[in-house]
Amino acid sequence: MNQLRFWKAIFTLGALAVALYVLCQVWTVLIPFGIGIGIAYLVQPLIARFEARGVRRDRIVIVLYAGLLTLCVSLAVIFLPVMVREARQIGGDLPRYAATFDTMVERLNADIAGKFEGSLGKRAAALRIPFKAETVMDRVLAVSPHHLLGYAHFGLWAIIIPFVAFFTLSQGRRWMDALFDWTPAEYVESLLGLLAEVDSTLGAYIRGQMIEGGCVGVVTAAGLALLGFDGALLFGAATAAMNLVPMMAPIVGGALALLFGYFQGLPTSALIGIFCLFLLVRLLDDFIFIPFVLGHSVALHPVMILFAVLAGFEIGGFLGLVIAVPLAAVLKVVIGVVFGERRLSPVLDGRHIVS
Amino acid sequence: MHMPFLPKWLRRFFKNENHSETLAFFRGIPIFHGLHSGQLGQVMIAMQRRHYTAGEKLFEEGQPGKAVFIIKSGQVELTRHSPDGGRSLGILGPGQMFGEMALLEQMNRTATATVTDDGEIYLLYTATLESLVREQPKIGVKLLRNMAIMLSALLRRTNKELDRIAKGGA
Repeated sequence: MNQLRFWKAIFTLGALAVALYVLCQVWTVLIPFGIGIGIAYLVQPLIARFEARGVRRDRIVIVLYAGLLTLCVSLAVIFLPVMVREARQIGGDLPRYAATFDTMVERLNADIAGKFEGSLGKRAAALRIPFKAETVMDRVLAVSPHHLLGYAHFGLWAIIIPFVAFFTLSQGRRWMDALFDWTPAEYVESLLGLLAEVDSTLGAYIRGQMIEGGCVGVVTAAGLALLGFDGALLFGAATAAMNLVPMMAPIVGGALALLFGYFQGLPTSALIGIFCLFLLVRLLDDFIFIPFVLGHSVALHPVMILFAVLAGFEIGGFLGLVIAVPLAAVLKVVIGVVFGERRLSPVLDGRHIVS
Repeated sequence: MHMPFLPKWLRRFFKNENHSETLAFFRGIPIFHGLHSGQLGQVMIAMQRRHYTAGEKLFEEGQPGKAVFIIKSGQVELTRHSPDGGRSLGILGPGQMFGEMALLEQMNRTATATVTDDGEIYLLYTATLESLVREQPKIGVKLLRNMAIMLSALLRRTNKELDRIAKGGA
């Protein structure tokens, strides 16, 4: 019996290793499937609300799906061309901005050298700022979404993603039932616990982040557009994405917006406006969006999020940056379920008399 | 399905025929007394269903309890270790719930549950119920009140048993 269990364990481990190897080889093919399942996972609570009221799952999925698809296509038709135009414009202007910035730095270096040459002599040259915007720009572009877009086959993805999302939504409950029926009885309680904990942490976090990021993006885009900033929509979207990383949206986003605003030739009042806008967005985020949207659902400590994001970027570049936080949340939950033990403190002492 | 604003043909199109039957089943379970259809529906959605075959063990005595079980069909026997082997605490059937202590405190199971007759069982994970209670306090108040009533009744029964044993021994 023990020998049989040993061979079963060896076989399972071997099968897992082979599956992992195959997944590593074809991981780019799995991206649209992952996105489709992710979309279904995010929409699932809405479907469940109708299901709880006695509505047929398959039919409400069709109706909601058609509605959501129409909304997404409408939004894409309205906003995508504007964003593409803005991206092209900024992309075209970027080398000019970098060259202007480098000229400014060179001028500053010359000033510093001139001021200290009398006292330091030739050593004054060592005081120059070793920064070249063009080099930084090249590095950033190397890890930008362009890098990821190399894997994308948009025509195929446009078919696969909605298809996978639809079937995951309509068949998801059956798949879960099948998974539980297939799981040995002694592990059912643990599996249920693991999935419930992952769902409560990850689901609340991702949905909360998306809504919070959306709010930040909309306010930023609207504010920048009012200030006459070119590329307000693109910057709003970028700020929403940056909001995933703690403090990145107000610091990096704000600094970039100020810099771009300066290069675009905006007046000083508009630059002060941009500074105030990012300050306002930060305050809105801290006092309105996070308390009302995220609440206490964020189970990850900000330091842990920061570490996960940096580690994710180091390991997987742009894709690592995107999946680092959800992955860290899942790991935390798995560790909590495997090693954690929740016990409530006793509410009665020995002197209590039941009557 | 309570959506009076929809035309009749549309309500028929969306209506889940099995929903009323499942609601009626859950309404008969003491812990869910007093929940209206919408609230009961939300609790139902939070549950996981699984088919069990005779001989399968749902949990063993001494294991940490994380879920509550509701029998839809089939039978389950609860046994407890004793010096002379296993002692049967009883056989439970459709509509009965067990493992409910896990809802209150995550202590170790005090009995072993084994399926004696093939059937379908619903599982409700404690943390899922906790988050549902947090989101819907009205459901939480009703569930906790029902649990308090159940525990009070069990305590009264235990007191009577102890009384009977004490009188018998005297």
